[in-house]
Amino acid sequence: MTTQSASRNIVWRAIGIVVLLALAIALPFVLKSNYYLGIAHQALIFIILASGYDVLLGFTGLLSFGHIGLFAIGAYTSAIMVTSTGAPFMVGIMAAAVLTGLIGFLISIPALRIKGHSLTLLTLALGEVIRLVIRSMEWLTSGSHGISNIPRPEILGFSFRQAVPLYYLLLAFAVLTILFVWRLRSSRFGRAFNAIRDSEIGADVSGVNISAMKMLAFAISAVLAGIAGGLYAHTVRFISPEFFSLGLTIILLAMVLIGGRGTIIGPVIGAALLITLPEALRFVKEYYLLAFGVAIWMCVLLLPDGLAGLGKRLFKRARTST
Amino acid sequence: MSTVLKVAGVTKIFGGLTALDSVSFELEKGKVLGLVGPNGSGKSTLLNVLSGVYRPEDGSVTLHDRNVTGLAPYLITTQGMARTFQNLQLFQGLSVGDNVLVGRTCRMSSTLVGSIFGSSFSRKEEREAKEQARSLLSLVGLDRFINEPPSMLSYGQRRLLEIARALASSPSVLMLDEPCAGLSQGEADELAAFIRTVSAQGTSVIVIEHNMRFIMGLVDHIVALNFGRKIAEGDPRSIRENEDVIAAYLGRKKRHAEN
Repeated sequence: MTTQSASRNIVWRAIGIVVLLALAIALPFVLKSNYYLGIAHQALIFIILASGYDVLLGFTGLLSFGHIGLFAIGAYTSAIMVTSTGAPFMVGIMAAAVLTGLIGFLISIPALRIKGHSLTLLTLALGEVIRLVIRSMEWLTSGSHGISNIPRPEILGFSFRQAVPLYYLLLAFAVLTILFVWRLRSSRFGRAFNAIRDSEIGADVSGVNISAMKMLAFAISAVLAGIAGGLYAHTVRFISPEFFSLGLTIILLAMVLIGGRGTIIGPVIGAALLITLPEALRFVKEYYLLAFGVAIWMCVLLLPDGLAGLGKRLFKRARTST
Repeated sequence: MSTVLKVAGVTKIFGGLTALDSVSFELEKGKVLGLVGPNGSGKSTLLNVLSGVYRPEDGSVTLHDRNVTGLAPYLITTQGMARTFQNLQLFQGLSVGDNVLVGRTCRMSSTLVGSIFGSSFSRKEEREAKEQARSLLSLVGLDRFINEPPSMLSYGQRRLLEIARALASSPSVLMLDEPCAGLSQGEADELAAFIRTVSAQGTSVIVIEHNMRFIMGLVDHIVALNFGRKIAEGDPRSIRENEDVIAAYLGRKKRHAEN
């Protein structure tokens, strides 16, 4: 690739980012109802969660089925901190991030020795254990009743109780997350993650400390899951263990796979699509899951790199044909 | 000439099979050492022990007077020994340039926070690493592929890319496992010239190769293995005329008693 076409690529990419950001900023002016804004809130939260999950799955090639467990811990940490101790929203979020980061780091220790399917099964068990522990620790989490009346975010006296300000707060978090992941990917750490994914032995002899990098990948994705969890609790205002089920893990996985793993934009597209799709497919009623299953199946067969990969290919074709 | 690498009595056993039986040799700075022997003689096993992929049962590997025996591969690379693989281990999801940059990882020290926020140190380090990667790639003639995936490269070019990646860690010992496999004679000659350039700059090279024309024209010193034992050592000429080596390669009945 010549430097000229590379720099033209950057221009196209910049235009794409500006357009997407403008659309995201303009969205509340189009979506007038609180119902639709609620869906947009969810989409933004899942963009954060999926972007963090992709650090593990797409960047480093580690398939964890316990990620929703970390999301749940983040949600409960912040909810409990704020409702029972009256801590400010930002303190709750930070506590969620620190605690999930720590737990992610602990999970990574056995994960260093276990590989492939065994790792996936281990994390699957961990995710379920986390959910069951939350359900049985009634004194802290009120068990299966869940925690209700979680206050909407408030930062330095400024309230984000209304749907539109909350939307912009979540958008800010999502943009910061995307920026973080983007910077991470082009750093020596991101390259090391990718190297481990593509060839562990190759990375090892190239001087990459595989254990340290896997721990870091686990911890980073856990911190982002914790932040997303905290934001979720304060957005939806009610959390219960049932929400954080294995089904949600599958949806999270589908977001990253359909969007395109290992890319920055992939999880963003995937999360936005899979949150809004159930609304768009409301008319098929109970057949929704069927349509969803077929969609995932088609994606795996026809779009191995997800929608982001498809976009890239189409873009390349358009460019070479002109 | 100073000794860079000292291998003493290295023994590696798989189950009941002795793959390496007390192998010793020394490597001097800027020299090219050829590791020869028939299939299954223990050449690749030796390289795996030297690079930390295998841990030896006995013996020691000393690099610059530091004992590196049994260290993890990434630590051995950090200490100054880098290698390539016979079956390539490139990072297919990274660009050619980024493949080389990964090889630089162990020489980089910017923190995560510094990298994310673009501290002046991390920016400088990143810029220098990229300059080095570019110059290494132009040295092996791959600089025009810097933004392409490795799948765009021919087989021979991929081998060169792996060598560039190994050189990115600025090793004092470069280890090449059958670098000529899949290369045309012309490409092999270019590779030999390139390896000579590398060694002339002070990097010692260990090379495993079956291509005798390549080995004989390139190396300063040869260690010949058979059944995990060192059967001969010396300059290319003496090895070519060594009875044991000839016997090992051609399977001729040995006239000498085994030692």
